[in-house]
Amino acid sequence: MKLGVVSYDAIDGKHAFSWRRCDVRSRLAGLIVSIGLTGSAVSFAQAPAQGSQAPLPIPNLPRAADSVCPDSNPLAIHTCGLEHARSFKPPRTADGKPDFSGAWGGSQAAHENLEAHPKLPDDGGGPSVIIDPADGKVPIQPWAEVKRLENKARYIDQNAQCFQSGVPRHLYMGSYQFLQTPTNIVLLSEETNAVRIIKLDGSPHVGKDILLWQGDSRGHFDGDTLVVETTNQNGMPRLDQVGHFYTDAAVVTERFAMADMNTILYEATINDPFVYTRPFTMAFALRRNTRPGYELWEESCYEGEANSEHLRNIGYRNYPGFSSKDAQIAKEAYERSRAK
Amino acid sequence: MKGIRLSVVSCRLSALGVGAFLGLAMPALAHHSLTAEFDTDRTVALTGTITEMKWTNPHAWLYINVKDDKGQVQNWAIEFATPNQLYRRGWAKDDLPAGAVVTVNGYASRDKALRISSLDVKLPDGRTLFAGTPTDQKP
Repeated sequence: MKLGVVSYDAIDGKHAFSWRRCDVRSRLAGLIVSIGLTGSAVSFAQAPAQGSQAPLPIPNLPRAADSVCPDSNPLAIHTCGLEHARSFKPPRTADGKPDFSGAWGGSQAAHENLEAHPKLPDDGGGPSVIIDPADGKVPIQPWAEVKRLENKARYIDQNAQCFQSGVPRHLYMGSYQFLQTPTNIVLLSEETNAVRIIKLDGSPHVGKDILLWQGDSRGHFDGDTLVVETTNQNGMPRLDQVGHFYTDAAVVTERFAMADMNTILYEATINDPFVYTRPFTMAFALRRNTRPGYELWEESCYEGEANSEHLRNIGYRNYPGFSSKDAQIAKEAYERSRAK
Repeated sequence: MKGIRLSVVSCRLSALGVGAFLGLAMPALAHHSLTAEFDTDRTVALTGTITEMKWTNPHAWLYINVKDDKGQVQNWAIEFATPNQLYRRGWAKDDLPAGAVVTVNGYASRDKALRISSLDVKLPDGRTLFAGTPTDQKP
């Protein structure tokens, strides 16, 4: 199949170039996927129509301009999102629940640093996504700040090694698609082809000894807001590239509320008393990708992953994870050293 | 062997008058932290002949032969964004055929290997394409 592409209008207009043709046969093969879910089957990522001679665009991330809350500042988004979510009547599934299905994209800046950070060669920069505490700072315990700095200086970020981003980080790592049935919401990320399943059937969390990269997510509706609790973390993912971390004891509570057809106000509260002085909440907009023809593509991340070897060559190490027991030991050691 | 210019530019960029290409030097590698592996204070400009282009995840890799100051041919590895990002940007597989001469700008590897993280690549037809991963993809 030949697919014409024009692109790059939103990212780098200086390099926009005219219609081109590229062979995407290999990329489109396998895009039609069916996932068996409880009581249903869902198909997604439809390939462009066969035989079309017209060049098709390959769109990129969503456009903020399509939203009632186009501001990129999390505090402004939060205020705007709450206001519109109170009155917006979301689309409904057949069983009457708010329908979150579709292609969405989230904040990119948070994966660099949850807190405010400048634009640098390495970072796009942006404001803090922390809305609580009001100062936008992650309320990290003193010993844990030492550990965070060690994480940044010494350990390879999980994304470089093609591991899953974890919850909630996968929602600020680019493009994803939500598939919804009466008993599940499945979150598909293009990054590393990660899959996260949120159970809506009222079933309890899995046993406490089962620890997972994406945790175990159970959701319910509070009015038109989807509330999801994620437990059973494995202590491996970090929240951003500057080393903010959490342990197996962390509980992440997320709230998804539609502010309009193209905007989900997203909040995530992280409660890990082993690492932080209090729970803290981040907020940003998930924006629907309204670009015609948008679809998720395969990202077979492991096939050519070479960065971790390069990083080990200059002294970085694989992150061993950090448990709540590790946190207790590290905190006690820190306090003993401070008492001397 | 075609081609060939190698210059390693240790820089604070403005001082070296390379602002034109830095205007294109958008922050790179949203996939993971760039500065851990590459030195963003040390840019490299390479002109050489393509030996291979690998459209692999999580990064595509371009390999080019470049002559050093002593005339010795060295094979450099140039890290690009993910294939998906390149395709969406309009890159095509035939943009980088073996044997073509290209000029690449990028950041030097911290381990001094013959490897850079690309910023942009100038193709034989004169087009210059942004090759890294922009971090201003905020929705």
